[in-house]
Amino acid sequence: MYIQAASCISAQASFNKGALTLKNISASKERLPLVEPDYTKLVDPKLIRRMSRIIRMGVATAMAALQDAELAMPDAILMGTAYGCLDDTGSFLKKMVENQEEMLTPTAFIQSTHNTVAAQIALLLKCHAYNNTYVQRNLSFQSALLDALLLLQENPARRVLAGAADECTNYSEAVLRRFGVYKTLPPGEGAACFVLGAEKTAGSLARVSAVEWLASGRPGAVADALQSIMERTGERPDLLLSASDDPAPAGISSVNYTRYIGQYPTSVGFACWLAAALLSGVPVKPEGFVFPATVSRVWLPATDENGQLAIIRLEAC
Amino acid sequence: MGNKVHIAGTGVISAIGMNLAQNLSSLAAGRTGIGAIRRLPTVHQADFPSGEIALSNEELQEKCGWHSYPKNSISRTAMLGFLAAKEAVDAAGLSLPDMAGDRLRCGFISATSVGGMDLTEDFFPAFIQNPATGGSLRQVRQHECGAVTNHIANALNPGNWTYTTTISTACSSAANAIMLGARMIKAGILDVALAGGADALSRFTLNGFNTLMILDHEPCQPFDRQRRGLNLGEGAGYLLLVSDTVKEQYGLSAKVRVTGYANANDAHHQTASSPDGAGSYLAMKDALAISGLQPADIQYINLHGTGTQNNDASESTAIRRLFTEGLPRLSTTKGFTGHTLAACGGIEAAYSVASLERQCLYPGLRITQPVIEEPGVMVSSFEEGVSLKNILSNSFGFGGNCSSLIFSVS
Repeated sequence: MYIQAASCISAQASFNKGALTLKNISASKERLPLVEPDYTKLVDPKLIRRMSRIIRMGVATAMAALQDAELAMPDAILMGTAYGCLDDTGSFLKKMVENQEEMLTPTAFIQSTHNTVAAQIALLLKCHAYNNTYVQRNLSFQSALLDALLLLQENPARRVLAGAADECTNYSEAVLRRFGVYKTLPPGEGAACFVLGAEKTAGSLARVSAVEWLASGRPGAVADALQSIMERTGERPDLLLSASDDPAPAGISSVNYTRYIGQYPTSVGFACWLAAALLSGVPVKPEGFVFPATVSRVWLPATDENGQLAIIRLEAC
Repeated sequence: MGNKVHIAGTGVISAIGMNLAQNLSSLAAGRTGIGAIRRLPTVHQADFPSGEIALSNEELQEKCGWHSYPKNSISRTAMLGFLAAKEAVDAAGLSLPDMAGDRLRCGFISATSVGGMDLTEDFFPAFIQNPATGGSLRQVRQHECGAVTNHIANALNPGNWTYTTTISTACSSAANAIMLGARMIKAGILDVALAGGADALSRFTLNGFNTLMILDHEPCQPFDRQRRGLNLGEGAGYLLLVSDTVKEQYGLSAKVRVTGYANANDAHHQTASSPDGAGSYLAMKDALAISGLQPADIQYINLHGTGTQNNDASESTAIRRLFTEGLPRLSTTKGFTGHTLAACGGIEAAYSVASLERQCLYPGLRITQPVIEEPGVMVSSFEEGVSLKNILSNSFGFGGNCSSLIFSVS
């Protein structure tokens, strides 16, 4: 499966094309502001006004990826989001509590369902194709990518739009701070979208060689799993991009990429965008870390509280 | 091509029963689960009849055997989901940990629209008063849909799932979960998939649907000309799907298969269906194509049939467009259970499988002036000794998400 186009909105200038320096923001305590594009260039301004941030980010990255791929109508739309539309959910909940369940208006409720981003993309494109939304915490995007692989296996002529998006709101930030989530790195948010196909196009950035899901039986078994995949496949990644500081197998370069974008559950969307950029030769320089001189294989490992593992394997194409 | 997808077990919990057997006897007896809300604390208890499960959270937690968890720390969605999912596994006479021990790849694919919202909305009043300290954090540990799935996954088969995921496409969620499970088995990625969905009643959804003015103040009358809207419900429904190899290896007597599935988008409006039922038409048509069946091969459709003006008009239009040479028998079981949102595709899949296994048709309720006027189409009472080979089940949701499943006798 090839990444034929990619678009990403994050706390870095990832939406722009070309060389990029990733500022190290790990010392920040505050929520990181997004570097947002001029949305009106991508979506009707009248519609933009009604969209919450997660919808804007999701829709804008989708439109940009489709434009890059010169694809008018995808054959599937897949989104991964852990929290979904937090802003609309929070505002409906707040009004419901304050008004004691009376005199409520539908707008926030309508836009609160988890499938809103994928649905809005379908609506804008008038796209009747397969449409799915995965909400599996930090592994939501990996679920969407696995579905993309399956869709292309079923019909290699398809071209699939797959993405990840999560927003941070005052409410979610307050709750997650109380859980201690932001003790080491600040809150973040962002979106990334990809056009995927079985064919290598002229503009293809990278190849997704696998999205491996494994039962580890225990949390934190990432290094062992990576080791066993390396033994099985005979492949060795040049770089690991991970949302945690889990130890990597010996001798493999590894970086916790959330030090550049802050923490949010589907941040692996950013990592996938970054991997595609590196593998396609875009000069990206992260502060405080040096990428290996040659990067031809990048793996994105992730795990959850049940010890469920999902590892995206990318390579240059 | 690829593997066949066998249904080795089903499990259901809803307002008409705590397990499949109770659900089926309620359906056969025409016993509705719709009534006044008693358990959910809401100012609308008397306004909107609903399909509420009578058991309290404490009773459900006891039934799950989750004694060690503090009160108000487990979402009702997780409890309903666990009970139905476990029933599906037990009905197959299988042990998931043993199957993992046999190196089978087992997936848990669960669907929900609200996840742990039932606890989050209890957390919120104190929290918004004082975000820094208000409300107990244990009430939001399961806010995320995926956290509910992970709780169920860990309770059923700790550390052994090759794949765990959650789908949230509003009211079509569980149908999409079953579809994904079937596709993964067919593609040889999984050997076993436990797939379905769960949703608990919450003030969030009740008030949300109320703002859309699509809730019926009386027991709903889906597919009737006098219909006034839907009743919400709660529950869960799961199927245990297995490959050919697993069926043989364990000597399973699975008689029904998933043969067709499709997911299409209406691309018309965030919450309303298109007048011509574009999305539902495509979902049904594409599901038939996957199964290799013709419209005439379908003997019965378990309708989405919510009871709203919009859904029932759009769905019946789509059915008429596709089944031009004669309509299959039709009914919607939402008059019994209420609309269980993300769970309905799983619950109605379990009913459809039971219909095929027992060669019987379950009725709809309270139809006096049917939308479909041709005599002998709507199933209005329990019918036995019917010849059924293929059943189509529809689930359509907000966001234009439309999915159809086809179940066939092996």
